[in-house]
Amino acid sequence: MKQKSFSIPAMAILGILGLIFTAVADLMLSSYITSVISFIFLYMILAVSLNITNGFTGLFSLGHPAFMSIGGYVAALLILPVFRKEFFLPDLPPWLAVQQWPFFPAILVGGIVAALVAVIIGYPVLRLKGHYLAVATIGTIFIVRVVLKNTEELTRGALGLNGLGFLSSIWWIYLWLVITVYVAWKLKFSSWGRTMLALRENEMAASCLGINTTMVKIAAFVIGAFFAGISGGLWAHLTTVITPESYSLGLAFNLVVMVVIGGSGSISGALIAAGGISLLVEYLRPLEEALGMYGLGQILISAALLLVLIFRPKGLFGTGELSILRKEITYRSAR
Amino acid sequence: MYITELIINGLIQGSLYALVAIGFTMVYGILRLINFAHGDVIMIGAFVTLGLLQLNLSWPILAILVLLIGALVGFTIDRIAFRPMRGAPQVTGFIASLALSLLLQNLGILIFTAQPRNFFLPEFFRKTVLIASLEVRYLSLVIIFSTIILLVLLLLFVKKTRMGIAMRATAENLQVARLMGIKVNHVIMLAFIIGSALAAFAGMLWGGRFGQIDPLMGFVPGLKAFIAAVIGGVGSIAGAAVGGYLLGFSEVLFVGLLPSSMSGFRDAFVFGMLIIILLVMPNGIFGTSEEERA
Amino acid sequence: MKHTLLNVDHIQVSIGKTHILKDISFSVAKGEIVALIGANGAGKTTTLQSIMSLHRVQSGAITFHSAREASAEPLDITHWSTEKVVASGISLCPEGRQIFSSLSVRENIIIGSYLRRDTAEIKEDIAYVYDLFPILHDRQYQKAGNLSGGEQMMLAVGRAMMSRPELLLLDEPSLGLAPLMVEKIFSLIQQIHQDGTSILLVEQNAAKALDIADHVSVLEVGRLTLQGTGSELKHNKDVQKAYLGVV
Repeated sequence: MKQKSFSIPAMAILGILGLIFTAVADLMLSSYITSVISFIFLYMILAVSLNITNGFTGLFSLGHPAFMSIGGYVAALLILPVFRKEFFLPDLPPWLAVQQWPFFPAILVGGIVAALVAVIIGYPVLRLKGHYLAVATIGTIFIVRVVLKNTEELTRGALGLNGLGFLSSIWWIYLWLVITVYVAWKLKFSSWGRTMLALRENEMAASCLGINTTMVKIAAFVIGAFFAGISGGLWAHLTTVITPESYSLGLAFNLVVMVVIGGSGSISGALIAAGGISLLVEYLRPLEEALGMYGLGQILISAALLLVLIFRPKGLFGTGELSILRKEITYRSAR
Repeated sequence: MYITELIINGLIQGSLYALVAIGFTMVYGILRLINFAHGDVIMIGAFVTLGLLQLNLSWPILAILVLLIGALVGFTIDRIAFRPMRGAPQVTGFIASLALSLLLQNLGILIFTAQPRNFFLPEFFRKTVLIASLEVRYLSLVIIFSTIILLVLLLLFVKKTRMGIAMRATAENLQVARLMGIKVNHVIMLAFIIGSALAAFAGMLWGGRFGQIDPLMGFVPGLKAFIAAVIGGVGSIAGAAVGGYLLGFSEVLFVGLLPSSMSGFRDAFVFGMLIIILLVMPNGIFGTSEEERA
Repeated sequence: MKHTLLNVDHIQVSIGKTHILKDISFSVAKGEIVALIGANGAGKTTTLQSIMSLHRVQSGAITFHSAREASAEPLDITHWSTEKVVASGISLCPEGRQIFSSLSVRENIIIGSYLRRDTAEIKEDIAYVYDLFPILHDRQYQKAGNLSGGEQMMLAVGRAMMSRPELLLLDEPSLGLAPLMVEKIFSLIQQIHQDGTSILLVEQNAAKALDIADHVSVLEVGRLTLQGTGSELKHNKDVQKAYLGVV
């Protein structure tokens, strides 16, 4: 049985090119452009991780911003120097107030906490289907936001935390991008990935085949949430600010746009769409300010999606992948 | 006397939610589509009213104009965004409505900036009357009674008229409705028109009640009105109204009766209620849909 | 020479990627009962639905020549919208009855007359339906979903009659009904026929169909294999073996 997968040489080359590009950006380009590229990489991480939940498994989740918030706040609270904590958050529980973690582990813990929350939320919510699941995940964004706003001892409420360390260098973000793509790649072309796809196509048939659909759905949801949490931590330490309103439904929508345009289930599609759209958003930002036309970028994205949905609902790639990156795997037939 | 105030506030908020929930439920009943842009029609209604207020019209004319413009907005939304997508899978329509919602919000920001604007309905509405030793604005009474009147009219329309029966038939079984010779595209358009007219009207009242409007004002109320429709049973107009009042009362009582430290959690409570209802009682109070939800 | 009401000419219909109707031709003359019999999946329902434009006809043509306007040209209804087909005088009583459960019995009957404006005649027709099916009159204000299978069938037929069709299409009227009810339904179909409506009937219950039909066609996997009068086919050995359970 043949199946397409990514060819290792092609992916390695891509990875090295990315590395070189990152080096060039860091060393030779202005810090403004470097940060723009950092945001583009972040969007790619988010889009690929959303693809695991929405694209591979067909779970329509708009919940990424909620998990970004969780991951972002956890990481920020761990990283924030003790003296800062005393100043900003005098009512922090003592065991938390003495923590001061280095960057990588804190980000990781942020992702893990987000993943744990996803497990708790996932069990009830993932029983819903289609647009009802989507609405429930929107509800999650609001619930998380409200909880963050109203637990001032931990989060400083609506004011949020600012003055966070500018710790998310482009190298860290690139590293996480590589990890995310690697995980998505291995997942997609494994038996787990095929199971997820089977679930997406027809959940009832999949469960009749003996697949534990609940487990698979939760796994997809949790993996996506983990990377969203990571991205939240990275994002917070790129913008140096985090508030309960930082990650909104608009962001979730834009991620869905990237997944839809790139083709649900296509990793390369998600990367390309994420790159293209975030580039557009970042390019338009100074333009919007200059012309005083705020919201123009969002209008263009929304209009573009509407057009795609009307004329080309399968997106650019459907479930496939960019052909240069593909290779065929032959399976030995079972005897 | 505090209880009286809570009851009246509950009725007011409930009326506003009911007006918007009806639009959600009518479109959902026929198309099985959650139209996220519906909440933003509230915003459009509010801003249109702001513009019309400059013209110093008598308020019945103002109200009728707002209803008509809301109807036009509904017609346009259906024609341009949703009709080309007839027959697409459920999730596609949902994403499209989300796109439309963001489009409308950002158009609002583009045209009006995100700054909230002051909004004052004519003097008439700010006069007060004494009810159970409480001073109640005329506006509040207008909100409650106009909602009830519109509701009754709509229910009569849907129960008694030929078109009303056609709408109910189409909502139950679109295919067979076509076999009766019903032009389902027209029925769908009518659902959008009526729903949007009511939402725009609610926007006018909303602005009057809260005194401030901004381009993002419609989204969260729209979401909550959707929750109200789910509580009442999506597809049922009476259900949407009941759901709206239940939600309005729940919100008011939540904030009014619980200690003030908990008030901030009001919205979390509402969204939490949505998730619970979807899991435990997916058909709501009056719903009869056999659609697979969970 | 009998007036041809409906002429189906070499139509092909695919649903998605499945080629369901491969080459179907038959006609219904005014005053006839025509039956299509065949096994499950042969394409009987698809044929009726295609006449009503619920499916796109890929090639071939369907023409309808209303006897009320006998002087005019036959209408090519192949690609007409469903609403237009209904307006021209053809009505379908769909498979599985599919009455509107949430509407009352009376409302179901009324909605059948949706396209008509002649209020007085509509009232007469409602009375006619209640005459044919007295039980519907007794239950007229109840929700249609509460009716039994047989009662729902009667309602479905009554509803279809309300548009005063010249040609009534019936999709498996006996499906899921007890034998006594089947007898009743078929005698009612004959009554409707005698009162002036032409009928195109699709049935799995071949025996009953052959009993009442003037002309019968056998549908097998998208093609018509046999055509003849009811009695001819009843005595046909192959039909007996395949559809009448005669060994």
